[in-house]
Amino acid sequence: MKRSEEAAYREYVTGRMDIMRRVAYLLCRDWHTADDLVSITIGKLYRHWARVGGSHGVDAYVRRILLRVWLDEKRRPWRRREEPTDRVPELESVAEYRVVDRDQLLYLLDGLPKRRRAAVVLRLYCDLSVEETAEILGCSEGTVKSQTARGLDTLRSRAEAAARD
Amino acid sequence: MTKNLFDDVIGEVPPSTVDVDAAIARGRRADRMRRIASPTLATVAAVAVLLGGVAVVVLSDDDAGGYAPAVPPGTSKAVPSSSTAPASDSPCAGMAPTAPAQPEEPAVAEDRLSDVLPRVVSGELGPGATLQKNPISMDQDGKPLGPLEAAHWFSEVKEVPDGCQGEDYYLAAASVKSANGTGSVDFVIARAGGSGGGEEIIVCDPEVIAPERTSCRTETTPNGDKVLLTRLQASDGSVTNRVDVLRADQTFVVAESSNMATSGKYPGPPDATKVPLTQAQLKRIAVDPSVTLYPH
Repeated sequence: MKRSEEAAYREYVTGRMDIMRRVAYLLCRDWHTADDLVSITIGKLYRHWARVGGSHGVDAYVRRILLRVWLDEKRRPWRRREEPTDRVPELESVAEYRVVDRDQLLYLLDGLPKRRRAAVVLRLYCDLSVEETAEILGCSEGTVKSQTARGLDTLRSRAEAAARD
Repeated sequence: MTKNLFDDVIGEVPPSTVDVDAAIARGRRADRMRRIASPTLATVAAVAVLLGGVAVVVLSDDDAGGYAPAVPPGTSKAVPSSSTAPASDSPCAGMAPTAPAQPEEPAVAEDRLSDVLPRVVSGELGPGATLQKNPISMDQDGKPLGPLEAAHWFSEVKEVPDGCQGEDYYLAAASVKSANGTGSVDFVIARAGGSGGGEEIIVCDPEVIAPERTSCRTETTPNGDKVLLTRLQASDGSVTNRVDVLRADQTFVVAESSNMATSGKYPGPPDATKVPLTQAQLKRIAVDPSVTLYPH
């Protein structure tokens, strides 16, 4: 990598460090693991910086790396347990999420399967479209919708259970 | 806002433990290995490294063993490690080293090279010069390494969407402190062929000489070791002496020494007034019988 490219890489990584760590933390819910994920991600980014560094899609590229690092199926066999879905409900409105308080959201994130958690984080925290989220997750738009909706269903049922208690 | 709710969930963000410098250092190492990434692209790749150019290979973070059953060099047909050899019809097939498998397990080779390199290098250093820990020297897991402590870097050769990936080599580095300041020395030692580097590297092609390369020559030792000697000078004043050797025993050695405390690939002004080791000294080290992956 040329030194000018390396300077641009360093500037980009430093500037995006906070948001990368936040997204990683929402995914894995552990700061040590989050920093590991980010470390691996920026290492992979370095290798491809000459190609992607000047492009408009670098943020999406980084999110994709981060997700793939986290979802590495060799080390995380959860994917084998994931059930395919036939039902493709519409995405719930963002307004419904606003009723969620901090503790409920924590509970939701902790309880979600990883891929569903990724869909929720990408859609609602990173504010990505269904199309963008589907591309990053490598799945259909319908699956993104169902994953996000299932996450919301889980939240809703838990919130109702908490209210009854 | 929903995003604000997530930020509430995140709460206070602890200080980062992400080391950007370490990521860059690892990336530079990968750059170094791109030079020897593919037999067909090796010459171009050699220049790409010098220029900081495009990648022809990406290196995996996967950890795996790379040891294959021993096949004594020179006594058998070259057999790549079974764990590093892609299918023959794979576009990555050319990345597999063609040199015989190592006679040692990687951990044994690491220990042996960690003993050999400091001893041989110290024998070439001037009076008062000492080997010290190089801050960019670490193993594949990011663990810091001692002066010229060798680490095996390995990931299986495989095809990925961006091309091919895979690595199989030993790295060792040290800073060199002397009255001239602090310079550095580092080594890449690999089985020859494929990503390990081969005869196609040992050339001074005038059409592919990078601006930083201020001198280049080749020679062959009486033992049949093929040697490329180059000198690189960066615009900010750092100078690197470099020797690539395709040894007759099919070990490929890259030996570098710079007047930077970390590596000549780092930006910034020199940390020493002289490069700790000359090309002649690096060559003597690289062809030393003990600096090999095939010890007798």
